[in-house]
Amino acid sequence: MLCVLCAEGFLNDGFELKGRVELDMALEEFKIEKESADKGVMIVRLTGYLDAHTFERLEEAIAELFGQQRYKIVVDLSHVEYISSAGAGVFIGALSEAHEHKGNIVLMNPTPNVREVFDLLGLTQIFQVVDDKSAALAVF
Amino acid sequence: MSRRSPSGAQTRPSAAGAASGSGSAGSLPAAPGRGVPGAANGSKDARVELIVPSDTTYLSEVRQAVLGVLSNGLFEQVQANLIALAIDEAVANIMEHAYTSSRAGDRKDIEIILKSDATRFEVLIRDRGAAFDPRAVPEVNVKEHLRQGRKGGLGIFLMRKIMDEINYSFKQGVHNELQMIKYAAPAGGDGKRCVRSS
Repeated sequence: MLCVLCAEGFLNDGFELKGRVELDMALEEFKIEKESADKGVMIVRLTGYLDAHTFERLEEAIAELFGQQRYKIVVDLSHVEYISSAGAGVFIGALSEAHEHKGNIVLMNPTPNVREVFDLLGLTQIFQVVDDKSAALAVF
Repeated sequence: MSRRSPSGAQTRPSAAGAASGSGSAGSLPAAPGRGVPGAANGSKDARVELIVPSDTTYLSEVRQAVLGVLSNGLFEQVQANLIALAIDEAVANIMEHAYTSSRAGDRKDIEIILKSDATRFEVLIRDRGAAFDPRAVPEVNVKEHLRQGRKGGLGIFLMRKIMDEINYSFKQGVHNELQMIKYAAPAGGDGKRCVRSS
């Protein structure tokens, strides 16, 4: 494969790593808060980045709710700055189980970045995406 | 414009240090001081190299480096964020699948080269792990996928959807190399180019 960068002489020694960046571990905090609401609904409020590094924590939190027979879940995305397919996958994986138990996963107030990813993935076709808490509770 | 990653054992520079300069990463939160040299003087030329361990902890740093390079204004912020997402997906995929060996002393680094000029943004991602050709992953019918509650393959779907060109090569015993390109203006049609390998 023609490599423009090799042609410039930076990497013509193959994959010989000449240095390592020791990155600051300035991981943005990812927070999960839960709040009980009317009609047996649980609101799961997320803050931060939902990516391949953090998605397992959300997966565990939802599994814990399912373990408590809580299948009516509203996910508040108003403070989620970023989502990748790993994060979206948590919702996708949880939805069918929620449906099996006559519950639902409702996505509330996604930020523009998150909504863009939902649109690309077509998540809005299978999830109910609402603007606020009253609209979310009205789903159940 | 280029900058080779320094040996970090002594200096411990941040990803921002590798990217250097100043600039805004737009609607994704940016650490102060992110950006590229070219952005500061009005040039759209930029080049940044990163070497990160195969550890998802570093994904946010990778995204910030991408947004730093893209602070040159070549793409609107929404598009820049999506490009950062495509690269996040590619790197996360390597972190998850490429390095399966747990032998002590194995190097599990990922080399990321970000390059932008007035016409396009390009990324080269290299690793020494198991071969993985994203072209071998069948097209995902997302609607069907979602209906069945399946999660796999969505990252590659996003990469294909966002980037104009994806190339892959595997050099036995050397490295995997994934190249992705996004053109500032489509050359025709939807701007997608052929996918090739060697």
